[in-house]
Amino acid sequence: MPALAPSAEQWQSLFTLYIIAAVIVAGAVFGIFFYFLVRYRRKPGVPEPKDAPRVGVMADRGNPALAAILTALLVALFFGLTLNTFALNAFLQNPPNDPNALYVDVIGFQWGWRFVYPNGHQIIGTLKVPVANSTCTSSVRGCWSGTVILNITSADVFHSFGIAIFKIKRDAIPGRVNQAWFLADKVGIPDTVPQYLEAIRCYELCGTGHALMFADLWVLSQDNFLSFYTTGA
Amino acid sequence: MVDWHPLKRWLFTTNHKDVGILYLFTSLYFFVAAGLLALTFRTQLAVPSNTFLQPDEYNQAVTTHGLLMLLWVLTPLGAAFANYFVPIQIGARDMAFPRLNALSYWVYLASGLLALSSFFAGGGTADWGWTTYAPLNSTEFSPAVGGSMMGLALMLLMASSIVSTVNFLVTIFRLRAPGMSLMRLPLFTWCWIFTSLLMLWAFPSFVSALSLLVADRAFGTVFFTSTQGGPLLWGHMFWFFGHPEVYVLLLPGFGIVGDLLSTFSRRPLYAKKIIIPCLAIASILSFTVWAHHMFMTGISQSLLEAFNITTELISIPFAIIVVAYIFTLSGGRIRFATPMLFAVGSLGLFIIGGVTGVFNSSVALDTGFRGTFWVVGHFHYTIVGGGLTGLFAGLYYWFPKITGRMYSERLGKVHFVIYMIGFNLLYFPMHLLYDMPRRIFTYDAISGWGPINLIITIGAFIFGFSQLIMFANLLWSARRGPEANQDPWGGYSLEWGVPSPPPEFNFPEGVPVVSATGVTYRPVALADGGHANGSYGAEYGEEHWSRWPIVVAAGAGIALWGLLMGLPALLLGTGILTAAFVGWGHESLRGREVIEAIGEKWPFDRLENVSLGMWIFIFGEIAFFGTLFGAYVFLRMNSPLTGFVWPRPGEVHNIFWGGFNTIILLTSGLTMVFALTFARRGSYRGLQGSLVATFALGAFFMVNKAFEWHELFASGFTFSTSTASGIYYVLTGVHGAHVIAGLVALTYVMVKALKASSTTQASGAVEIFGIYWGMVDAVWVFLFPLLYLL
Repeated sequence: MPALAPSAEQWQSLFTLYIIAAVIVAGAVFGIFFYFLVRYRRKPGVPEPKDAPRVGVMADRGNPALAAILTALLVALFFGLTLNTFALNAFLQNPPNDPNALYVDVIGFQWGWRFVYPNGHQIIGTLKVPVANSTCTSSVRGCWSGTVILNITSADVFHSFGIAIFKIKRDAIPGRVNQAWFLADKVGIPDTVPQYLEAIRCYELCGTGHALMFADLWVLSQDNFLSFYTTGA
Repeated sequence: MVDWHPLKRWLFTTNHKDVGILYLFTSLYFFVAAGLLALTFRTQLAVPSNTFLQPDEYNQAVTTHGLLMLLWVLTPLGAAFANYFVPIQIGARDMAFPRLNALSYWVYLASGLLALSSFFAGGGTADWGWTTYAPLNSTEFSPAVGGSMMGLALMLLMASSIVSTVNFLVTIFRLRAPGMSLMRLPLFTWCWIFTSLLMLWAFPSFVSALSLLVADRAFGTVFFTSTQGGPLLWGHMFWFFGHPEVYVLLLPGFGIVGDLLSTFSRRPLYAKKIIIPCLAIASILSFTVWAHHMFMTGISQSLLEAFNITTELISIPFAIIVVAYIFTLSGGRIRFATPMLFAVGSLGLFIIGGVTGVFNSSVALDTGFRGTFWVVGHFHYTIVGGGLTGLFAGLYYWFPKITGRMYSERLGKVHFVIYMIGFNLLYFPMHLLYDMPRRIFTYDAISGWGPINLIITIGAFIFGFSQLIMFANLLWSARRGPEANQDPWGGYSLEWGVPSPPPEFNFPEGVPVVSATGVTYRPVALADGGHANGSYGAEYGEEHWSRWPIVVAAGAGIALWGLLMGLPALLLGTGILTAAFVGWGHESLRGREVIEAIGEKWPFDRLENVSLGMWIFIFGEIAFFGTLFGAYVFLRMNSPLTGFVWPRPGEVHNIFWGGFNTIILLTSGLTMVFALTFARRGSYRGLQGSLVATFALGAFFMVNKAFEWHELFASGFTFSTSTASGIYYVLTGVHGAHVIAGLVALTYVMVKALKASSTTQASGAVEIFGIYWGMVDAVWVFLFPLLYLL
């Protein structure tokens, strides 16, 4: 399934990097583990090791240098992973400086999402945004680039706003405004793109309606979005 | 032998092994209760749009499952083994404070019953998830009394744990047998040291968070409902406790796994001298990673990156230990008995949980994982896989020692196989649901989450069923199993050198003396506190009973229940509690304390047991007040951001009045020093005079405080005025409660001093009280400038 947004695409590639590292590391560890378990299983005729523990006695054993080697290997691995993580984090945390971005206020409440547009239009339960438009560069005026910047807060309890298909998420906290942003690549409504159905969900337990606290996503063409934006319908 | 009715034995015992068995049964009972709760909500989630549970029932089941499993099952199951085996492993005859040990157990039981009864308190129990996020935890959004009752139950449980922690640390540091140096301690005992230290530092901070919550819910303060404090304050306070808590859950089982890998492979632990520092490093780091639970809250990017790195760092000591564990097997002769199977299984599952933990350290990947089933899968691999599986390994391992009989090896292996199948069916597919929110009570079929959820639920039932095999096996074998040898596994810790089950004072042949070549037993000389007949103990039961611990726990439980449910119960509980304290006060301060053998006490050679206990307790108090000070700083630094103007010095609080009270309290510290000096010099009148002066000054301080509160209330500065007023009342309130507790204890000391045949005899009690009183004074020395001058 192709990614529906740059944020999701980059997240997936970072996830893949972590998976590869995890499979290699866990594979090596489990490899040695199982090898030892099989190799040193109790067999008839093999005597008890000379330094076998007995009551009150546990002999010294082991090479401390191994710990140093292991630390060095892990630090190197984490260094690589962290650089990639920080790069994606900077991308996700900081919305682009885009004069043609659409700003939407997102207010979570028990139990639903309210979306407030710059011209005052409000909708509950559906987030309508313009699709990515590469011709709408910062030198062009009067168009939507497709960059959507969300100012997220809550009207009552602690919620967490997430669009899983875009891999963006921010907590919706009363008294605070948290920012998230995305760019949607594919035009569609839930009828045409099933992933847009209930695409927006709450990710923090917020009471009995937590499971039903979702909203649909509509990604509209420039013209359709303009008509929605001006009429509010 | 004292012929005891069994009921009397189990109600009044202070024997560490009996207490351990009580912990074992109780924690397994809560394990069944919490497990059944999990099966109810897994049934609800088995298919889309299910209606087996109502949403509020689902939320209560999820919340209670989490709280019970974490706090009333895992740690107490570890405590069961620690109670039974840590004293034996260090070569002691019992804990340092056997009556306090019984008290910990009974208070733990009372807190658990209080937690369960909250279901029936009207409106159901806590339904906000075990993380109790603000402001869902406020009365505005969760008015049910049961929620408050759960909060009180948690505080009571924390009290039990802190008492237990003090007891274990004194026991391990002061009661070791000759030659039992710290480095010779088995890994399980080492892990219990770190568990205790983590509890001692983390649990008081949870108590302070709960204090603010209870203040919000009961007295109308606005810590978690106002924008000045609010959700982030709870987040920081909760997770500062919550992440170390993870290691509290893990370490006991993890330590057992290490000892078992060594025992069953017949090789010494690989690099034990590296493992122990690694445990220490991990324990310290565990206090520096909490904000990785708050990656999405909007805290600054530099903080995010810092916590990302600390979270990665904490995996390094664990990776080193895991590799050391695996290398332990090399060159061995591995016997795959049931305990070993569970130990190997535990390590394997923990490795998977550790690897997924590295994913969670990534602040960028967290935009995907936060609040999803991925996280649920991850932490069950670490806590159930690493922690509980390791504890079950310990249960099989020590079963022949506790009962003197052998369990069925065949059923044990069947249990293991079904356990592993159920576990992995249950928790592994959760990682595939990394888009599905946690704690939702239902989902649509169109989400596509149905089939995986069905597999998970099937796994849950298999996993639950497998435990029945264990229970059947162990219950049957405890009565009918074949008799076990003293040492069926070739274990190296001292419990394998004594009969199964061990006699009341553990070492029938005398004091164990440990050296590089093995353990010998030195017949007990009278000077060692033993008995002339050479048997290492008195008549059975004589030294091992007190009726007060259970009465104190009952009184505390009833009083807390009554606090919410009505005055009669509150009065009854308080009455019982008072009577119990008076009764207990009549016993000797040292009680029927088991006199320890002369052994290893490094590094606390120069302290009395009771003094060391008091110092350790004060270490916990520092965490308690420290977290409250932290909350104060957080609230005050946040106030400009929300447009709230914090009162200037002198604006609300009368500096002169506060300063006057400071002088009074500090003077009472001085009179306490005099009291100790007089006690040591043998001046009876001086001692009495200075104790009375201390009491009078402390009481005067409280009267002054009461007037001050009254004035503030009259001027409109009430609990709910602002976070500034709230934190003032909480800080001075909990400090005042410490003063009042001190005055009660001082009354006890005065009566003791009155009755003591010599003042030097009383000086021990005076000294211990003096340490406490000094702490109360010292806290005020910080509070006064914080509240009045800055």
